[in-house]
Amino acid sequence: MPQQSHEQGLFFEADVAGVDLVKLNQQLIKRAEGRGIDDEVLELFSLGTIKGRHAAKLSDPLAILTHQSTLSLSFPIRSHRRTIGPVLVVGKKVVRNLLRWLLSPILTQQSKWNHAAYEVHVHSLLVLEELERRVQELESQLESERRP
Amino acid sequence: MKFAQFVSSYTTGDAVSNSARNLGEVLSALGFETRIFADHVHPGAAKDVYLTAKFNPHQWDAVLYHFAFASPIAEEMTMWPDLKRYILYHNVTPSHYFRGYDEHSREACKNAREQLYLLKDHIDCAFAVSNYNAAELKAIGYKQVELMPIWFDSKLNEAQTDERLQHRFDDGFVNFLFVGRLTPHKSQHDLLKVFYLYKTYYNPNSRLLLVGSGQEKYVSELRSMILQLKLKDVHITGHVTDSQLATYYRCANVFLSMSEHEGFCVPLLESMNFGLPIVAYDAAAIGETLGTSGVKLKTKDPRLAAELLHEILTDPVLKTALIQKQYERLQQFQLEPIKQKIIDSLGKAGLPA
Repeated sequence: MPQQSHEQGLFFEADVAGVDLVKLNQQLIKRAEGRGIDDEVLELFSLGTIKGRHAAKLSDPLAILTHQSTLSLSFPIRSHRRTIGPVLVVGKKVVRNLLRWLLSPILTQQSKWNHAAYEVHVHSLLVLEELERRVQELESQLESERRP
Repeated sequence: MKFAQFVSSYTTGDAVSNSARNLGEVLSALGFETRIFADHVHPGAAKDVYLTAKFNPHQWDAVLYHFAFASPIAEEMTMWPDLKRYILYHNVTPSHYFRGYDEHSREACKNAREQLYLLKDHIDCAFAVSNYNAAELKAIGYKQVELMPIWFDSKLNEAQTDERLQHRFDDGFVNFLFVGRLTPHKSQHDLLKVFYLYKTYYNPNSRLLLVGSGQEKYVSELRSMILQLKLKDVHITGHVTDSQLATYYRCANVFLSMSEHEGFCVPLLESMNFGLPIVAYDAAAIGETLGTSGVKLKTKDPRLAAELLHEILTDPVLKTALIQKQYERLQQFQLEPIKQKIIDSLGKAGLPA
């Protein structure tokens, strides 16, 4: 169970009238223990969950994939031209609004495709890293069995 | 007296920008002539915010820089002649949190700390939004540090509910909410851990709403974690409008934070206002903002956090008592009680209102 490094074994503090804080802390710790959640479950969790040489190489492109997978028409329209700039901005906004009926469904469809592609990539990467890990394990097992 | 405020970047939904806007209103009411300048102004954020390039130091009596990030303003301030110089310190994220995620931000935070050291000998007085921030400034060597707390901006109450979002999320599921940029120091990955256990062992009809935009690489890792755990009902919203933000608060059941670094944490006040029980890891200024209200976690152990959430959600007496206490705490962050503190702090800094 979790390490209790705090005074009196309190894992939370709250000032609520009529609540015995120490007692409630103890009750909840006991109940959490009774859930049978073992440490192995928690080992699933860590940042950089996909570890391995392929994941290290692919982390930047994966970040781009996830961040730019949703396409939207709501991007800022600007112009740096001093005099006709405001007119250009209005013109571009009008064009965008006129084409919205056509572009929106296409962008939605493409976004869905991008999200699915991202999931497939991550899943494949997870499988690949797991297979490599397993191969390494088996290789070292074989190596140790070959040794006299 | 003419009083210019500076922010590095002015944008909507940003705590520092909101603080500058709100302080501007108070300063105006106190008789100061005030204006906000920024290095970058997000399109549509505000029409009455000026670019720093348009600032002429000879036309102003005093400047206050909202310090939260690296900016050329910090170095320029040291060269402006004959004006009173102040900073309002919102805190700077320790740069190590960005290692491996965002080298640009890591470098910027490192530079910001260096600028903070640089400014200490050129500032008439430093203000801080929390005692936590004030202690940092004193440790660096700032001689005069006064408290200028953030007050609760009730404008979010007036925001209309986004009906589409409400229809989607107000459906009987238990909604856990966190509001803030998706960055390593806000520890959304720890929220995923707690949520995974809660959803698996306590209530499958639950949802995690992570409101805010984020750093690409960190968000990618969060999404990888979500996929690997086959975790459903986690929603990463990206940037939201005021109406959407208010709707998320209205649909949520608990505000859950595992953040490791906050200079104040405005979403805590917003949660108090919307009547959400708060469960937050007690780090940095979180405990100070909560006072004796909310629930302060002393550990990040997700098993205990999940058990505690279950207790709060199944014990209406406990939940109501927490919410009531938070409302009481929120009263201390209303403009009127804070306004007097601001006047006192300005007076001590040689700016009589």
